Amino acid sequence: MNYCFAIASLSLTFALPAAPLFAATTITTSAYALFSDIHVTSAVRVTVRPLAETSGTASLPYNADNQVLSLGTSIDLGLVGVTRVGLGIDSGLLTSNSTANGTLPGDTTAGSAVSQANDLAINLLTKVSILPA
Amino acid sequence: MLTGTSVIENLNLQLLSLLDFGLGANARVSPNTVLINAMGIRVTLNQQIIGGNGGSSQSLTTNAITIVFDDQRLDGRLLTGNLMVGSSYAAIDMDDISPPSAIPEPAIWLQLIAGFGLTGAMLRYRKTVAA
Repeated sequence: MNYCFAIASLSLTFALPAAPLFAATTITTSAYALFSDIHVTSAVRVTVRPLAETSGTASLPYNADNQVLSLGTSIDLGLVGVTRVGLGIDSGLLTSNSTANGTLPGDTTAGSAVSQANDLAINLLTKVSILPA
Repeated sequence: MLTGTSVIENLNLQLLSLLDFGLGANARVSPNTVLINAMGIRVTLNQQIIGGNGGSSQSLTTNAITIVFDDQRLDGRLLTGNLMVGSSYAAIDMDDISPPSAIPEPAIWLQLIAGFGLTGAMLRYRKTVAA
């Protein structure tokens, strides 16, 4: 008798909905200091691939930093008429930071994507170019 | 929820004769601040681009500064392209969190019925023996 009640109880237990199952939570980050793709029609196309690029995927919690101490790039966009076009980029420390918190899989999560640029100078200038006779 | 921030210290931005802009130390600008959007040049500070489905998949791109040239006229020629400085991207992905169905599987039903059947049979057998 007790054995049969045990089977029935066991059956009821199995028949009840089980506790929810949570899946893994991951964060994916990427960062770069500079990217540029500039084109002057019938003249030049200059592409600066992402500098100091990082990327990755990890489980929670996660905190990733990316830094570039300084940056100095001069992009010559060629001669347009009698003027030469140039783009200059100078920068001090460039940082980026990506975070996600939470300790258990399935936690409600929060995250951030932060970037900081110090002493950044961007100049798109034209300069009259005197060609030799 | 994802949040984004850009801090720009000491910015000097000069684009032809269209824009001459500066920021001092420890400047914080509102998200997606557009400095100029004219003559084929668009400059955005603290650009934040939200992606994902807003639920189990969320993403955020933060760019300290974005410059887009969209057919900017340059002595009869056109300048196109973009420039981004200080980019940070974060995405959180959770697999679908769906509780199992409240309706038992057929095997569970069979087990349940068998258990009650055995219990009923045992009670019936006990009554017969007692009589």
